[in-house]
Order: sequence, then C-alpha cells, then structure tokens
Amino acid sequence: MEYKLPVSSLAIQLELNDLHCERGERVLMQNVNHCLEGGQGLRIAGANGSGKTTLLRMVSGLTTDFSGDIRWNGRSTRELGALFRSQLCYLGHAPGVKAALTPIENLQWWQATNGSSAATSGGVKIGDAQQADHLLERALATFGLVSYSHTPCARLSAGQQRRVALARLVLSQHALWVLDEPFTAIDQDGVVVLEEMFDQHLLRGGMIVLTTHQPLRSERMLTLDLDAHRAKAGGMNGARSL
Amino acid sequence: MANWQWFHRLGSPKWLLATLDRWLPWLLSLGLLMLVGALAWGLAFVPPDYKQGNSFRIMYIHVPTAVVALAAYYAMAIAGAVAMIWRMKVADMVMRAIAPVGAALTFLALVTGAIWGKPTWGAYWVWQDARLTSMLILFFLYLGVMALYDAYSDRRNGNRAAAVVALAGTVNIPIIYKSVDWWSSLHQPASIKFTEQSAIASEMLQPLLLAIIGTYFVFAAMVILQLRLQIVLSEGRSNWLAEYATNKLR
Amino acid sequence: MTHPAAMQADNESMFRILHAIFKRDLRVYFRTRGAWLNPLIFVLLVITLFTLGIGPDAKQLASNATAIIWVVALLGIMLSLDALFRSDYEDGTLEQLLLSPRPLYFAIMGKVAAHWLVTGLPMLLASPLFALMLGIPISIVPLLALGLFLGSGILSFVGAIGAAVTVSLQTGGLLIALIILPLYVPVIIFGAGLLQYALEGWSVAAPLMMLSGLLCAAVVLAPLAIGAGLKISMDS
Repeated sequence: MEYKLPVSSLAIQLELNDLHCERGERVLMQNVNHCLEGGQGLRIAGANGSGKTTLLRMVSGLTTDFSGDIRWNGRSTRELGALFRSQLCYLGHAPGVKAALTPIENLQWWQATNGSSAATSGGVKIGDAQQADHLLERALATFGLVSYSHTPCARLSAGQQRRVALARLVLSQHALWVLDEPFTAIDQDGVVVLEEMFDQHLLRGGMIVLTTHQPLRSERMLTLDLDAHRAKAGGMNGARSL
Repeated sequence: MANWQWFHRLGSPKWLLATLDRWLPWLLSLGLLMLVGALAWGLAFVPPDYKQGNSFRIMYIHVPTAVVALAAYYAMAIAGAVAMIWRMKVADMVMRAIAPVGAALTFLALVTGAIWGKPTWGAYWVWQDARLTSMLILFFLYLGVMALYDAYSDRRNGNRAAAVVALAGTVNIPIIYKSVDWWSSLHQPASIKFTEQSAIASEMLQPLLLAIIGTYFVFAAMVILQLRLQIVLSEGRSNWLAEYATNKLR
Repeated sequence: MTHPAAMQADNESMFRILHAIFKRDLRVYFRTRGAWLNPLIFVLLVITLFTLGIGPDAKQLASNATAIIWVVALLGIMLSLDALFRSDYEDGTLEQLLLSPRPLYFAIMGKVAAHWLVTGLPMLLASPLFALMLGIPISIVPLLALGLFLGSGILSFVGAIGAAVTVSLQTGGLLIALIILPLYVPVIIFGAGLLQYALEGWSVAAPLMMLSGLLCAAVVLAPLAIGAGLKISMDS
C-alpha cells in the first residue's frame, strides 16, 4: 500500500551557482556549479576535509558564510526562507534524537515541528490523528523499531538511534532530502531499506543530496567531486604566500 | 533615485582604508587641539565654583568621557545592527573597533568620577551616586561584549554574536539607568539641559561643550586606528592590501 | 514576498511548534532526574553558606535577606541556563529546530517557557522555606513567591540570550555570567526592592508593576535575540 503521493507535481530544480567558501586562511571550495532536477540524486564526493558537510549545510541554509547563490526553482533559498525549509528534510552528523524520549515521541515532535502541515501536504491530511498514527507505525516498522518504540533512546544503540533519525524519511513529504552520511552505523539490512527508499523518493520526482562512502546502486545518482574544486596553488583566489 | 553609491562604497574595505588614512590625521589633530584648548580654558580661566572650589575642574575630563562612552555603546550596537541586517562586513569591523575604545573611555570616566568623589562625597566610591554606578555596569557590558569576541575562534561569528549581545544591552541600558536612579535616593540631578536655563554657569559650560566635541573627535580617531587594524586582520590575504601597503611605503 | 498559503499556515503552525517544543522539553526535564531540582538545591545550599558566613544573628540575617535571596536565585537560574540549548546543540535537535519551516520565535518561546516552569515554579513553592531560613516574616511570603516567579521568568528569557550565543563555545558557564549579569541589574533592583518595600510596609505597586512590565518586554523581545544567537552559533 502506497501512502505517499508524488512529492511534487511540478518540476523542481536546485541550482548551485558559483559557490565559493573560505575557512580561516584556506579556500575550501571554489567555482562549484551544479544544477539538479527532480528525480535526480547528487552525491557529494571528496576527501576528508574537502567541505562535503559544509556544502550540505550551505544547501540547507545552516551555514551562510559563503559567496555565490543557491536557488530553488529559480529563487534564492535565502529569500525563500521558510518556504524552502518546508521542502527540506535535513539529516546531519548528529541524529537529532532526544535521548530521554522514546522513538515514537521523537518522531512525534519532529512531525510537529518539521513535518508537513495539513495545509501544504498536497491532499493527504496529516492533521488527521488516525492517519498520523498509522504513518508513525509504518515509519517504525520500516526501520525495525517497533519493539523499541517505547524504550528511551538513551538505551538504544548508536545504530538504532540513527534508525530513529532515518525513520523521519518515511514521514517526510519534503521534496529535497539533504543527508550527511546517512549510512553511518547502519547494518546491511538497513542499507537495503534505505537504498530502496532513495529509489522510491527519486521515482516520485523527489531530490536527494547526500554524502556517503557507501557505493550506491541507483543510476539516478550523479556525483559532484569537491576535490576538483579545491583552491589550486597560485589560483585566482588562492592564498597569497608571504 | 537616491544616490546610494556612498553606502555601497562603505561596504568596500579598500575604499574605506584609503579614506580613513586621509581622515585620521585631521580628526586626531583637530580633536587634540580642541581638547587642549578646552582643558586650558577650563583649568586656568574659568573661575572656581563657589561650593566645590577647584575640584569641579575634573568635570572637564569626567563628563566628556562619560558622555562619549555611553554614545559609543550605542554606536557599537547600531553598527552591529547594520552588520546583521545588511550583512555588511565593514560594519562588523566598526563594531569591533569601537568596543575597546568605548571600554577605555568608560574606565577613564570611572576613575575620574572616583577622584572627583573624594573631595565631593568624602570617599572615592559612594554607591549613592547613581550615575557612577550605572557607569560601572556599562563598563561590565563592554567587557562582556569583548569577552564574547575573544571566545569565538571564527572572527565573523564572534562579531555577529557580540552584535546580538550589544543590541540586547542597548535595549537594557535605559532600564538599567532608570532602575539605578530609582534605587539610589541620593544623587545629583542631571545638570546640563539644552532646552531650559542651564543649571551650571554658562562660562563653565562653554569649555565643557568644547571638551565634549573634542573627545568625540579623538574617539573617532581612536576608532579609526582600531578599524585599520581590523581591516588588515580580516583582509590580510587579499591582493589589494599588499598593493596598497607597497604604494604607501614607496 | 511570502506565499499567501504559507501566511495562512503560519497562524496554526506557530502554536503548533510552541506547543510541541514546550511539551517535549517538559518531558525531557521530568525524565532527567534532578534537572528541575538542582537549581533549587543550589539555592538552598548557598543560602546556608551565606548564613554560615554572616552568623546566626537573626536580625543581621533578616536585614540581608532580600539581597541574599535574589542574588542566589539569580545565580541558580543562570547556572541552569548553560544547559538550556547545549544538549539540543550536541544531539542535533537544534539543527532540526532551525530548519523547521515554522517560526523559530515561537519554538524558542516554548523552550524558554518550559525552562521557566521547571526553575521558577520550584522557587515559588520553596519560597516559604527561604523565608524561614532567613527570618523573613511569613506575611510577606506570598509577595516573595510572586516576585520570584515573575523575576525568574525575566531571568530565564534574558539569560537565554547568553546561552544562545555561547552554546557552540567550550567556555560556556563563566562567559554566560559575564554577558548576562549586567543585564540582570534591573531584576535584582526591583526584586529586592519589592521585598524591602513590603518589609517597610510601603505600597509594593511600583516594583511589582516594573517586574511585570520587564517580564512582558523580555517575553516578547528576548526570543528575537535568542533566535539570532542560535543561528550564529549553528553557522560554522
């Protein structure tokens, strides 16, 4: 049974225009340009310290210290603000799970703060309590958390806590998923489930931007290699040696 | 269409540094000249006060430093607000440049106030003096903002965080001043009023006004000195700075 | 600029996020044993220390009581504020909050209100105990309790600004004190003033109104500064 409608009936588009980012005395990345359409995934590759996480945070809007602009459907994400964030589901290094709360409570508050509201979810009335419970159960089941759903997360393993965080993707009606190392601490079964979810999200016309060292099987995943965008010595904006 | 070019130019550290370099000697010499004049006038030519004798003459240092120290906090907060709203790099630097100068002025006002307190109140520090107590809190406000700059390893974020605190302080300052006033029953009423007949003799007031204006000028010059340092620190890698420096040395 | 549908959704969503965060934080507080009790124990402990320092003379204690209670309550709340955003920052829930499409202003209001409830309410309930320890007449206890409740609200909201701008720093605790204590001056003046007025038998309307006014201003304005501070702390 399919619960989700297509994330968007309109074409969606994410543009990275001329991104340039410095950290301290170092140019982290320069001339980063990319255009992503709905149904496409983008995997950010690069060595450790090449700015993969920084780029994801730039896309999400958490980091603002860079030049160039990021556009969602042709409009700057900065200007769009909450409208852009209502399309965005972000999963960072830290799982964003409260240790004192149970998985089900964690998903509930996230649904209330970050989940789509009835007004914007395109037909599916998430406000309907029964429907919401149903969706929560499905999210827990997808990641094998049903028997732990009333155990405080503090007593779950690191991998299980990551699973709680990933279970949000089942609740998510967001068009854009930004995921920082989603496979961390996830076992083989979890990897299969997650890849299946990626495929479905892309098939529905959604968009994924992620970093991972896991080989991905989907053909809809493009790669952006940040190693190619590092500052070259003596480059235009390169560090001046004194 | 209004001419906004000056505003955009302000955003360019390169243009700013050149302008500041041109202004600095004028501001500094003009300010010092006014200060020396005002002090000579106030110390040597104004007749002694019938009640306080000669001790009131420290007013010519105390009042200008106190006035400018308070104004400096507001200038700092306004620069912080500009930096936050228009994301202007230079405003960040201005804010950071004002903080140590303002703190130093506040300290000077505290010291001269305490010295003035000895002959007037009979003790260096009397808590009933609401204005001096408020000045002490202003000093702590400055120190808090400066501590926050230093705690951040990232200059930009440190500046932005300090701007938030400075703005919160700005909202709070009138409340602090009023509450300290309320708290202390024994204090002199503010005696300079421009609308009414001044409570202090005009021959005492004229050099004081000159000293205040002079202090503003010297304050501006000190801020410019700090600002140049901030520009160099944050633009240290850029090519224009190296060119500018070599041109200057030639 | 803003989409009309989003504007309409705002009305509903601002209370939704306030309620969700308020409920979540209260749950976390009650499951973390001591989270709400520790500031209270701290206050009782420091009052005891003050008494040991001043001496057992009831008259001398009573004459210092107003200042002791307020300084200690202020320190207790300030110290508890260090943890207000820190766990959210570390476990990543703060990121989620900042990325919520719903207004951050109301999320912060929910968060600080929950903190106020778990620190201010115990102080209110324990105020008869403070009065007994310091020899304040029982007739004044209701005013003491009211003053502490209003005051702790101001302290929570204003103090949260300091917590927000220092959450990403290692040197949290002491730095919060440097930033925030000067801003607490009016609270201690009117809070202690309230008690002094009551002890002298004067009308307490003025300090009580000032405290209430300051609370209103803090509740409305502080979340703006807190929000800006949190965004800066996350931006690295």
